[in-house]
Amino acid sequence: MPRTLKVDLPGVPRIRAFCSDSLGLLKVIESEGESGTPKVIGRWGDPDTQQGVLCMSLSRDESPSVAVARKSNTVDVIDPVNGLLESRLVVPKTSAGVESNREASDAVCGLHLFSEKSPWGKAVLTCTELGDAVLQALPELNEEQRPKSEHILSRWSVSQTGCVLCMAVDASEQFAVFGGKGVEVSVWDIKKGTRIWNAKAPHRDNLGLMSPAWVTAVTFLYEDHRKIVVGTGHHQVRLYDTSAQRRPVLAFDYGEAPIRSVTKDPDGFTVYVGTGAGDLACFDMRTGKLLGGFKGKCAGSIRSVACHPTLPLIASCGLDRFFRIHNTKTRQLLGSLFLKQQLVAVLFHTTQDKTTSAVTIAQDGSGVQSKVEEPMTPNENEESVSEKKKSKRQAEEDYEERKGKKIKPKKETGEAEQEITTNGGLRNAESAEGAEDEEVPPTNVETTKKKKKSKRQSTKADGEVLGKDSAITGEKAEKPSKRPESDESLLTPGKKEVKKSKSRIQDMDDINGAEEMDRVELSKVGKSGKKFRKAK
Amino acid sequence: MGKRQREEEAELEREEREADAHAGKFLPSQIRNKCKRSEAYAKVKLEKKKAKKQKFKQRDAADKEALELGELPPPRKIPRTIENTREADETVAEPDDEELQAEVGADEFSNYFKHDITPKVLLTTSQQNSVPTRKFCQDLLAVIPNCFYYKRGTYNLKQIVKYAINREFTSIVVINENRKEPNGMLVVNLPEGPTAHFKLSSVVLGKDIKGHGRATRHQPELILNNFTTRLGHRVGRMFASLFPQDPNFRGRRAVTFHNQRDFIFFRHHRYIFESREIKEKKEKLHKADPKKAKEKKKQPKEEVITRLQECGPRFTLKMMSLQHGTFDSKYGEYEWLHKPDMDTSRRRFFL
Repeated sequence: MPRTLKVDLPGVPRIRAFCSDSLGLLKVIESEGESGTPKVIGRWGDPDTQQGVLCMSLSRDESPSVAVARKSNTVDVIDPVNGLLESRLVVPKTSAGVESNREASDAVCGLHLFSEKSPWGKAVLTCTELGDAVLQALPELNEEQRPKSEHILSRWSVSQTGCVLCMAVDASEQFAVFGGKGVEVSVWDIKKGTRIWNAKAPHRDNLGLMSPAWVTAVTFLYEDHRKIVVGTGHHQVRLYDTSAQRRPVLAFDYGEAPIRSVTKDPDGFTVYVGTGAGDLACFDMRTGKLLGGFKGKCAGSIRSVACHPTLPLIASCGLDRFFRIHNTKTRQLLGSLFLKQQLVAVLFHTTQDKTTSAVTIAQDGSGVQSKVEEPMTPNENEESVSEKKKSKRQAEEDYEERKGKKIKPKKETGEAEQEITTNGGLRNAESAEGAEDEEVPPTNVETTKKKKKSKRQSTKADGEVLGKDSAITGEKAEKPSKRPESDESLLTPGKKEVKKSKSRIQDMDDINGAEEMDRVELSKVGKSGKKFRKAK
Repeated sequence: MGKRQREEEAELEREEREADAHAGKFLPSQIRNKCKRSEAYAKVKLEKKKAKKQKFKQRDAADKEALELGELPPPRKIPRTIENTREADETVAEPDDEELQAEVGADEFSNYFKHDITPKVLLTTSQQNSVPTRKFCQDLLAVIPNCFYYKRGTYNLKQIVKYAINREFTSIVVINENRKEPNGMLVVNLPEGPTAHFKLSSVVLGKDIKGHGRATRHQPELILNNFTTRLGHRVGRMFASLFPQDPNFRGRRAVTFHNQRDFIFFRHHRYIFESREIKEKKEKLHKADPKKAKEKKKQPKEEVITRLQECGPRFTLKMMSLQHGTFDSKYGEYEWLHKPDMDTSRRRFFL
């Protein structure tokens, strides 16, 4: 008999995910058991191309909601458990006076649903292709469906030219980053609607040509709002560090097709990149090295990638109408599902079991969220971070055990981590690095510590300046002041210069002034040393 | 002969040999003299042939008997082919699927099927073109109604796409060539895409087909065969959007896109229903078989027969990619792109 059987896929652990498509349907996918096949267990909405989904967002709450932006310029907030409509709001149309030769439309290109613990409660931030960013409070369900001025908390224009294509909001839900075709990456303070940072165009190439800005995907790397990973239409992945310079600190090419999606891993340095030709790969953003590609006969453009907060899983979907789940450790295809339509966005809904709820909440980033409101010593925060790290590892181990491969718990790494946390308070990205680099000779570690010490003063000052920059609204200065160490995870040559020069302006009061100074000094730095480091 | 078939036969032979050896028979392969061995082997082969013939005869007799008794003939065995043993495919489109209908009702091609737009096709070649390609274009012009040939010049495709959108063309067909032979076909649906790229092979011009006819200017009927999967469905709709949706049946012209194992075979025919008298000659021919001749005599003297004449051209397409939007090979987004890791099975098809 000829071999007509398919090779069986290993199966997916217990997950719940949402996939939305061009017909406006929201499909609930679940897999049961330790290695089940994913199945569609629910379909919400009626097939209608006018209601096609453009973006999707999951709030970082204990019991999250899903927001779905549609082609008809409405945003539906849906309860992810039963699919009931919680609230519906209309995205205001941009007023007249728009240049006709602009290719952008009124379509929503970025959506974020804020958690209840955010500074403005449950609200939705939308951005249209024309660059009209609107922060709206959620109206009651029965209210008349048209944009009302009292619901609009904040509104600003990201760009007067070009076409905005992507948006991301950081873990503290206070900053948003935008990018697009002809729109350079810029970070905005959501509450005030002011731009706090924007990128510079990269250097001219060896032919003396400028490549026009074309940002197609953007995400914040880990939890602070200073590191931004960006994918461009010119198949380049870039890492921006807003505290270092306005040009990318790291840039490398991937494939030959435009990059369509960039998603961060909770570990703080891995990034998953999907392209328009259906290639999916993960990169280490500390070095810019390719960790490996994901196979699975992906035939079409990957529009969206979602990373599971606790399990080592990613889900991807795109124009080839398939929903796929890969293991991030082995990079193996675990399961795939044909969902009939061209898919737009995918999300993981972390199941809120009593046993795992703590883990999932912490990983959602809402744990940090809650602590932003109340003053807190840096130590506490570090503990929470280390706890989170542990809980994640525990979850992963559990997963491995369930799979039948028992792994010995790494005692040494745990100790090392604790030491670090009690010592100086390193962030996750770094502790992970420390855990990994056990073989690194102790001398090397010492040198890095010295570096840290020498830098600590300058970085503190830098933190203060930036704190003023962003914390007018009553945000604590602890956040920025505790983060400079995390810079170490992405050490770039010539960074010291920046920090020293920054310390000079620490007594500046005016934010704008500080910003201007920033620019001036950065331009100096740009002249003095080569910042733009290419991976290849 | 396929590998599998060979293997099967070899296995059968081995089994027979073993059975013979078991029964104490002497096998031809045991003979050491080549001359004698081949003689013995020829004998075995002849016997086998006879047995096969006998088998078919019996089958035919059984069929006939059943027919005479007014029963259904015994079911024939279905040969295993690559198509009917293809890998299970979850993407096969079900006609009664609500989601499929909703999408089909509003996709880029739906306007053609609602008769809102009549197709208007721009046909052109690659920048470097030669006589065979232009001749092929000439043949295509005769096939596709409302099709206009434009000299390519030195324009790039993106410019042509813009031009064609302004002139209200609905599709662009570009024939690419290599070594003065057409080898690629690009079909761009306007104004929103998609764009399909096909490998073009086995091109036979109408002139070179024996007993070919000349196509009339009637609008042809369209036959799309075996486009079963969701992707195939989309590609089939794309081909359909090149032709007007109201065929002129008086013209008796048929254009066929037949998909088999992901190869799309294009044929262009003219058919005719003829009623004519049965000639004497035919009866003479049947004299050798008196039963058949009797049957013929029972029939009326006039009969309607269908005749088919090929008009050409004849070619084969294989899809390489389907791109979202109009032509943009560098920065475009693909809906489907052929990749080497898809070719791990002979029984996996995508259309």
